[in-house]
Amino acid sequence: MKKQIYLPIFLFLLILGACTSEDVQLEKSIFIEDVNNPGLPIYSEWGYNTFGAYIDRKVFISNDFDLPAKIIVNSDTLTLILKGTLKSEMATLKFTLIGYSPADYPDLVSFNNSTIDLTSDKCIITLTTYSKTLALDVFDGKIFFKRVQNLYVDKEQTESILSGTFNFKTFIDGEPIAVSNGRFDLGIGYGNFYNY
Amino acid sequence: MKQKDSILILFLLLITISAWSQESKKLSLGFEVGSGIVVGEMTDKWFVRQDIGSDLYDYNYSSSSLCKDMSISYFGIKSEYSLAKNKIGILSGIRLTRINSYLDKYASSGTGYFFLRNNEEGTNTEFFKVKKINEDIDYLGIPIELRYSPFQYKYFCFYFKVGTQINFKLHSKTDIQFLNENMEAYQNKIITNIDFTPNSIFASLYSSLGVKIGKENSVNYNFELLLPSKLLTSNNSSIVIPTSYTGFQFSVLFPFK
Repeated sequence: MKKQIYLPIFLFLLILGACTSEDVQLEKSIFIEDVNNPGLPIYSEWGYNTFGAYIDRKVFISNDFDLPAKIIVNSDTLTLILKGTLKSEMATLKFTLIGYSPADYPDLVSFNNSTIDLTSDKCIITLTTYSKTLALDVFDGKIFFKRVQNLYVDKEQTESILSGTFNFKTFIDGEPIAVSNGRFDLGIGYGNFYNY
Repeated sequence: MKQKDSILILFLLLITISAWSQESKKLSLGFEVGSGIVVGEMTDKWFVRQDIGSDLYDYNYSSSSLCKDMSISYFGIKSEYSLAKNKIGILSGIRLTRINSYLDKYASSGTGYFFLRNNEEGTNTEFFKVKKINEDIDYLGIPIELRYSPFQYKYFCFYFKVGTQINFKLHSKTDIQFLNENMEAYQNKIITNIDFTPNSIFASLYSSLGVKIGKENSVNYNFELLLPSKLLTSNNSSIVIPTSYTGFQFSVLFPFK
C-alpha cells in the first residue's frame, strides 16, 4: 500500500523536476557586456532576460537572482516591471501604460516596432529603491519596442521576446536626471505574465 | 605563407637536390596514421543562443558550457625515398583524411542541450533544442614531405620534417542530434538554411619532430609530434574557423628492394 502511494508521488516529483529544469534554460539571464557601454548588457533579440540603463552615471541592470521582468495587465492598464540592482541595491523600474490590455503573452506582438512617448499622460513611471518609491515626472523620453517575437521551441509556443530601448529625463529630489542607453531583451511567458 | 615557411622549404629542397647525386638511395613502403586537434573560433553560420559560464539559478549549482571542437584524422599508404645515407627523405603517398567538427554543450547536471535558432519569419521565431551538431568531411589526397635527420644513434634516428598536402573532398555529412527525437524531421531544412558548402579542397602546411626506431634496411617505426601547423584552405568546417592544429603521427615503413 505504501509503495502504491510513494510511486505516483515520486513520478510526479520527477516530472516536476524535469519541467523546472527545462524552464530554467530559457529563464536564465545571459549577460554579455556591451563594450561600448561598460556595465550594460549588449542589445540583443535572443530573450537573454537582461536589461540595463545608466541613471546619470549609475548602472541599473538585471541580475542573476531576481526575475528581471514581469508584465501585469489589469483592466486596460499594462505594467512592465524591471527588477534589478542600482548601486548594489535592489531597485525596480515600472512603466505603467494606460490603454494597453493584451489578453495573454502572445498578444504582446502588437507592440512590435512601436514607440511610446513617456511624457504622455497615459504613461506613469516609478522607481523603487530600498528606501523609497518615486513617481517620476518625465519631461522627455520614449520607450521603443524594436522587436517583439513569439518564440516557438520544438514547434511549441513558449514565450514572447520583447527587445527594445528606452531613454528619458526626469526629476529626482528636484534635480534633473537622465536615464540613458536603456535596453532590454526579455522573455515573457506563463511565469511572468499576469492578467487579472 | 609566411616568409619563414618559404625559406624553410627552400632550404630543404636545396639539401635534397645536393644530396640527390650521392649514394645509398633507398625506397621504403608502409602506412601511416595520425590525428590532430584544431584550434580556432566558432563561425557565425549556426545561430546558437549563447549560454556562458555557470549558473546559480534556484540555488542548485550546475556548470554548463558550449563546446566546439575540430579534429583531423587520417591514414594512408606512405613511401619514402631516402638519400645521403638516410639523412634526407622524400615522402609521399595517398592519404584519406576526415575532418570532424562538432558543437555540443557540456552540463555537469543532466542532459546538456542548447538552443539553435532556425527561422525568423515576421514576428515568429523558431528554436530547436539540440544536443549536438556533428560534421564529418572526408578527403582523399597526396602529402609531400621532406625529412631531415641531422644525427642518428644506434637504432634511433631523430628528424625534422616539413610537408604539405592537397586533398579533394569525397563526402560530407552533417548530423543534428535533437533533444526531442520528433524534431529530426526538420534536420534537412535546418541544414539547408545554414547555406554552407564545404570546400572541395583541403590543404595544409605542417612540420613535425620525430624519432625513427629500427635498423638500417629493416622495418622502421616512426613516431612524430606535429608542431603547430596551419590549414591553407578555408570553409573546411561550418563550425570552426581554424587558426592552427597540432597532433601526432605514427608510421611503419618496410624497405623495398
